[in-house]
Amino acid sequence: MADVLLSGRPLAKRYQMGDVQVVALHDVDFDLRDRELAVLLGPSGSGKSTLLNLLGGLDRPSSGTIAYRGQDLSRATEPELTRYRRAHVGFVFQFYNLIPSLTARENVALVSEISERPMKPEEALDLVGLSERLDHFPSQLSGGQQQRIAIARAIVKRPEILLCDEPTGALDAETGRLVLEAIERVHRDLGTATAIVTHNAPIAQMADRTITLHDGRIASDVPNARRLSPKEIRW
Amino acid sequence: MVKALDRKLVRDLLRMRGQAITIALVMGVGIAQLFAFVTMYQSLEASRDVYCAQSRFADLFDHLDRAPRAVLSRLAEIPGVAQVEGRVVQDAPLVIPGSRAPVLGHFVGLSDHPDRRLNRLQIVEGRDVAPGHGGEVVVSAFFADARKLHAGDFLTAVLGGHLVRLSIVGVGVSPEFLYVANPRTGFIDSENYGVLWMDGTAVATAFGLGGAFDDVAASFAAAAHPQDAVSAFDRLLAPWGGTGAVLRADQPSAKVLDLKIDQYRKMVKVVPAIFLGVAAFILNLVLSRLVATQRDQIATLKALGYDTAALARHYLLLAAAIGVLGAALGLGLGSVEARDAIRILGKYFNLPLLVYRFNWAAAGAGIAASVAAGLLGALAPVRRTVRLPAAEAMQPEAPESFAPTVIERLRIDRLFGVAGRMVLRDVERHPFRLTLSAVAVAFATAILLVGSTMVDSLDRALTVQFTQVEGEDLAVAFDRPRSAGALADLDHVPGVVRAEAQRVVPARLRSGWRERTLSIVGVPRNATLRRFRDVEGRRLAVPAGGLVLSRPLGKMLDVRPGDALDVRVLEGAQPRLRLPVASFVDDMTGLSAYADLDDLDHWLGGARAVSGALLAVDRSRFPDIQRRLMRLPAVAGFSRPDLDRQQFESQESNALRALGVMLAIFAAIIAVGLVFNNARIALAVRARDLATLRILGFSRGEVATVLLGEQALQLVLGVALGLPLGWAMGAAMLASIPPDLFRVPAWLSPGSLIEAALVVLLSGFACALYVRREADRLDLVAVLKARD
Repeated sequence: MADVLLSGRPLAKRYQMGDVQVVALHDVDFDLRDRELAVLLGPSGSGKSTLLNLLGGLDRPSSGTIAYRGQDLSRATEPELTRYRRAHVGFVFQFYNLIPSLTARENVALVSEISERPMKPEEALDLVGLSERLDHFPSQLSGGQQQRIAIARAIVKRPEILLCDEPTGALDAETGRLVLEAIERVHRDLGTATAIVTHNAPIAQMADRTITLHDGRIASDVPNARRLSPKEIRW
Repeated sequence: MVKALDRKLVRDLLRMRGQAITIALVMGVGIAQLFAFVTMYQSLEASRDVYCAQSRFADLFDHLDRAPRAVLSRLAEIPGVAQVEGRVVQDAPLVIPGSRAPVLGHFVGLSDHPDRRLNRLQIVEGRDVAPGHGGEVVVSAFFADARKLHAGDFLTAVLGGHLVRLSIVGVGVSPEFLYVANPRTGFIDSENYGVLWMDGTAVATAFGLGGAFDDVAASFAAAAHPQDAVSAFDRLLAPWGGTGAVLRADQPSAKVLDLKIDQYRKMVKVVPAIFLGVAAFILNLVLSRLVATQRDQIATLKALGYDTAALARHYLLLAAAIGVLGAALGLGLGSVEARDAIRILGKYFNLPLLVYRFNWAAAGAGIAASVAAGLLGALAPVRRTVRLPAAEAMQPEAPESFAPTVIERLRIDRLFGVAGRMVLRDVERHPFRLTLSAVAVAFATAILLVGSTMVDSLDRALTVQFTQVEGEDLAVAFDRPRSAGALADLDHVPGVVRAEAQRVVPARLRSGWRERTLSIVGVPRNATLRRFRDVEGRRLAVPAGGLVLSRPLGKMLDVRPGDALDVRVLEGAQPRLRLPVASFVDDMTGLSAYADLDDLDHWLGGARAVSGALLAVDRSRFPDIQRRLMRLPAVAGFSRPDLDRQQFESQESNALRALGVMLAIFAAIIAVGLVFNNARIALAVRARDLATLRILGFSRGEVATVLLGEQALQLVLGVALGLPLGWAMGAAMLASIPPDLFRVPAWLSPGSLIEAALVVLLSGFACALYVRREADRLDLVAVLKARD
């Protein structure tokens, strides 16, 4: 069995919204193993994005611990979390979050310039099939192309962990498949442990393991007997 | 290699170039004033110091009635005195054909040894007077310019009652006469008051002072004690009618130049700070908005591994870049302004050499101030946002909560339509923004009004002086105090309708260790031509038995009505008196002392003496009257108040008009900078709301009301605040002028108030119209589809 890369025990996250306290996660236990592709499935408000944010060091749990290779992240300071994200984590967001005033190559270079052993931006863009769009601005590209640039930006640093929050949420089915193919290729070629958050159940068929969340708790954690390629998935 | 984040910075700056330029312009004006004022006062100082050193400007000056030249050797023996120069200095009428006003020449006798002269005369055209050549003169450069005189021309003067033809051999300047005011009016009058240097012996002879001197200049040795030297000069020259020695700092020419330098030094502290403060405020608003719209980008960058310091540096660099742009604009504008101003001041003060250096320290200070203003404006918004945890920054900004406020509870909102209510509610929820913006507009209005206050105050003072105070057609000065018979002679000149006595007595007033040398003005009880008034225009009441002092003079001497002053008269027998202070007056003419004329005669020995006369004449006979007056031996000179005013206005009004235009431009820059940026921000923040209103059926005009309503409120409030602020600032500036030069009560005409309000309101309005055009062109569908 592969080593546990990221481990959370028992994670809880509470938010104060005016007079109301919202519990986004209730005592969740979660592991992400090396080279694993996991899908976090659940409806809107189930806590899946909150869990992803905790795993990625974007937020701290209200209680519980998160460890990366045994190193406790839940009490890490802001600079420590920044170093963790810089060195080990790649993010892909639903709405791409590209910098609009930078070209495709420059958006990827944003990360390569602060990484210790990055690949070249051109290599990362080639990996996602966008070698011919290096000097285009985001506004000159389609949604699918923008998302693939975001993927290239996430993996240019050769991260150990790739976290994708609804990567196909803003795309049509065909384009979404292209994006998933890019994620799968990257996962396979770089061996990156990947977690994909989605509310779209068929996408879970491409994972090694599907973790279903409901109302801030893990409802099920089921390994896939057979992984499908994104081409084979229909939604 | 340029980093990706730095490329983002450059492109962000280019995308917001309109806002960046308007902010930089406001900064630039402030930096221009900082650089220009510093350069001007330092260059003036350096020019003055170099010139005065080169031209051996004397350290001490004294004027007296008359003393034999043998007294000079006793003066030279005073400890600390290095050199003494005695000369004859007198005023005499000049005959210039076609001149509308009487022209007076200030004759200065030259010593025979040009190389050893104090207050060295520098020849700028022609040559110096040859020793022993009594018919030659060198005229002052400002007089030559005004009268278009050159070496080789001729001039006629009335010297000792005789018409004398003089040959102009040269045009020159001297440190003693960098600023020359017509003694009759107190203002520069280059056309009608000139300095003429002439062979010393010839001058003395012409004025009946052969073998004597009535003026002395002295230089000090390094170890001199100036006050001791002054006391010694006073003691030695008192028997000869000495009026009291003055040191160089109190010499009129040097004093006015010092005042100008000091004015610029003071303005350095105030004017740039206003502009930089406004710029920092606008930048704060703009960057707050920019950082808010880039919240998701900041979150992404944090997620990618950029730390808080890198993000803070990124946005602070953007602010610093605007600061550098402002500094570049300011230094460019400021160096041109300084160079032009120094050239004009050089001509104004007749400085023959001008030291202008690019002031690196001022330039450095300007760049630092501009960048600091930018960083100050950026600090709060950047700090607020880059410190947000990444997860929180990924969420859109929490929408504003709109619970009922004061306006709703008091039902004031019912008075307005929907658009008006939207404006009011937004304003009520952002009172700080409204207040600070209104304050910025107030400063714009105030800056404009400072210039207007100076112009209006001076104009009113001149009107009061020349229409209410000076009712005479001609003011005649005698060569020395004369008996009442001299007045009768004037009365008999054909065309003279009425002649009133004028008595002005030089005196030194002392209270304890405080003293002041000035002239006591005798006020006749039944005067009709010269009607002394206070600053409110009220007729001056001079009670019998005491002195009436200008209020600043009373403060200087630290006396109150009822106290007694030691008075030493500085003419004739020079009696010492002890006189009570009757009251104070707020008058306009510097530091003055007034006394009832009958009292003055009594204090000085009983017999009526007159130093001059005020004449009401048949104006159709002006030329004839002037000709006859010039031939009277007792008459030293005369002036026409109506022409004095015209002369002053033509000289000063151009300068003041130019100042007014410049201040209007500055005020417009602030108004434009503020309204443009506020309106652009409002458009960016409310684009979705405005598009929604359009889709619902609101017209472009109604949508513009929602967009620009707050800006209109800022302008109106700001102008309302700015009018009294501008008056107060203008009054403070006038009050800062040393009272011994002149006092002008602050006054602002309704026209100036309206003009200032219109300049600011129209500038803001024009700017708002420009932004409205963008609002009119909103792509409604695109705006509604865009993510927050």
